[in-house]
Amino acid sequence: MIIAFLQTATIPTVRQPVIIGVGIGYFVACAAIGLWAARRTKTADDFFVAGRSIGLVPFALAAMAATLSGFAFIGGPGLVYAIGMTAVFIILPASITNTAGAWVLGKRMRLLGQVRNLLTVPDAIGARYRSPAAQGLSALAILVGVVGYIATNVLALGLVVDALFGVGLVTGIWIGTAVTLVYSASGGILAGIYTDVFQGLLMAVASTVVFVFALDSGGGLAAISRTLQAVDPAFLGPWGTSGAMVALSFFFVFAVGSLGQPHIAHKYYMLKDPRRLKWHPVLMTVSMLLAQLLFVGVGIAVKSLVVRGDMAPLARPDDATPLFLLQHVPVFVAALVFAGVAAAIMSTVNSFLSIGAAAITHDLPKAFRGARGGGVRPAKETGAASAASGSGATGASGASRALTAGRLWTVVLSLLAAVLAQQSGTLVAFLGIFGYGLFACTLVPALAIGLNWEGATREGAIASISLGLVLTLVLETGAWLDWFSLPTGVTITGLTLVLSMLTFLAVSAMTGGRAANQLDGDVRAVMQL
Amino acid sequence: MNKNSLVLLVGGLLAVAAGYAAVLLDAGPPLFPATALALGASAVLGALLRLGARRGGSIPDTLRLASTIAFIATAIGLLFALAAPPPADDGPLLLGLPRVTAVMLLCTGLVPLVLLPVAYARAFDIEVLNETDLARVAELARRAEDEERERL
Repeated sequence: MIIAFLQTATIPTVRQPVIIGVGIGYFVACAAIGLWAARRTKTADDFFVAGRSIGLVPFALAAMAATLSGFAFIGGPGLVYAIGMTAVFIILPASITNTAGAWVLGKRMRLLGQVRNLLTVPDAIGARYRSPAAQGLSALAILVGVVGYIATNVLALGLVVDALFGVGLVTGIWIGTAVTLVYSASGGILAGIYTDVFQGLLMAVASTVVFVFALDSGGGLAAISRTLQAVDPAFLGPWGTSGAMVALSFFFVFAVGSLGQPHIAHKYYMLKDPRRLKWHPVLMTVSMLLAQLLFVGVGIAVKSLVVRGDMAPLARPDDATPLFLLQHVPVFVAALVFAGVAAAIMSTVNSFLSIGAAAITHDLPKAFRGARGGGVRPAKETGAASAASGSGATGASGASRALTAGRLWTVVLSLLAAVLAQQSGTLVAFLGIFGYGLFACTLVPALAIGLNWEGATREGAIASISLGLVLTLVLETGAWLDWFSLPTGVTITGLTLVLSMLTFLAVSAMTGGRAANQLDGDVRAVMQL
Repeated sequence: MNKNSLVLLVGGLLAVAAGYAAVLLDAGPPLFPATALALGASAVLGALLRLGARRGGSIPDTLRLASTIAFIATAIGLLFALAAPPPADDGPLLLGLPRVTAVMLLCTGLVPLVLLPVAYARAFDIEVLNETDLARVAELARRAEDEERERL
């Protein structure tokens, strides 16, 4: 499950010596871990898929950390405060998607990655459909979504840094970008994974501790419920104050859409031993459950405190977490949570930088060359072509160029995002909004269905990716420009996701006669396991 | 087996589409859109789990049972909440939450949350990925590597 909503509103200043100290310690620790890991980054394989050497616990913690953005700590509790149970439907699908990721995508992505030496999610699509066009289109969709997503997350990071250190938003953006860039550009996803472990642990611990304080502040869950029932029975009713359609739309979009998030799917390539997938859902479930306790706990506790008059009504819902931490939690715990917010954002940014750089340096060149779908052996194994360069360069020089290109584009994307993040808030919010939906609408059909159904065809994949890309961009732009608005409960992502999935199935059915010829033997073998 | 999963998937997607269409067109009974979305979303998830569990031409028993229970529990939880009367200011609590909310969360949240990872781990060595599968994959990887060498 992805917490895709993004933090774009300012955060109340939380400057206190302990919080500043912990904040500095956190950033230094991230940079140090990243630099340590960066020394192990010697090939493009290391840079983009962590050398396929990640153990189960780091893998699960990294997946959890990349899944949750800062929204889980600030915007999410604020939304619960504002609309009650309706907002819980954003995280409720995690009960299924924590396992569905491994169940539907994990095994086949991991095995196909091993057989074809795949580096990216578009690689898997290219290999599955033997189609450079499908690979290129999916890479384009990822690139479009990634730029906006990174910009919005960088803005969120700037807001957190500003709240912590009072340096101003622009300086905050550059500080956050610099620290993330230190390990992302030098160590790529390998460094990202190790910092994710630290960040994921921090998020889970901080969330759990604050949840206990939240329940305690309201006198326990039953007392909180009674308080809220008395003033607004719908708030903790099954659908919250926004009603069943909004809640169910959240449920559908976040449940199904989670299977199309490239920064999560991409991580399956990194698992060293595919047998470890066995325990991945259990670990993912436990870590996600802990990391999301704050989301619900703070939202309802603050509402209850406000109703009882123990807290002043909030000026904005997003103030729920910062004000609760400052007023009801020991300062050291508050400091941990603020570091946890930064951790959630930075781990997400690192993942997006990696897949964005890979789309530019690997997938798009490969699509333009019309190469056979799938990766090739890296130089260290065959002394031949570099997997990631997409340039056809050979030998060690090709591998080195691929690594350099990955680093270079990571820097370029970071700087672009930092500049974009300083533009108008509404533009940045707009860029961020369609990221999740774009990934869902373009990747769920071709990946989640296509890797599990031999009858899926190249034509179906290309049609659904194209439709998802065009519809999302056109409709989100139209809505942003106020050309139209949809009734409550109907979302652009929900509509487009349904249409792209149905298109994929319909076109595949119509062109089904070609399906058998579009599957390479090794891909078919993996799909039958 | 694939056919049943695909029928469930298409049915679920059409139900979701019908729910959205009813809201957009402002047509149909008041509860229809939410009911269609609840059933459709549950069916789509159930179908994707079934497709993902497929091995060769069939779905292994443990995963089939777990995905079916998860689908039914999710649908029941959502439909129960839709059918329940509007929340009252003095309604009964269960586990510290309003009773309808708690039942919905137990069915839609807790059942799949516990069942699916446990079923997956229990079934893994036999129904998901065994040593023979791994040997086959290693062989495929070796062959792909050889082909790549020859091509270059």
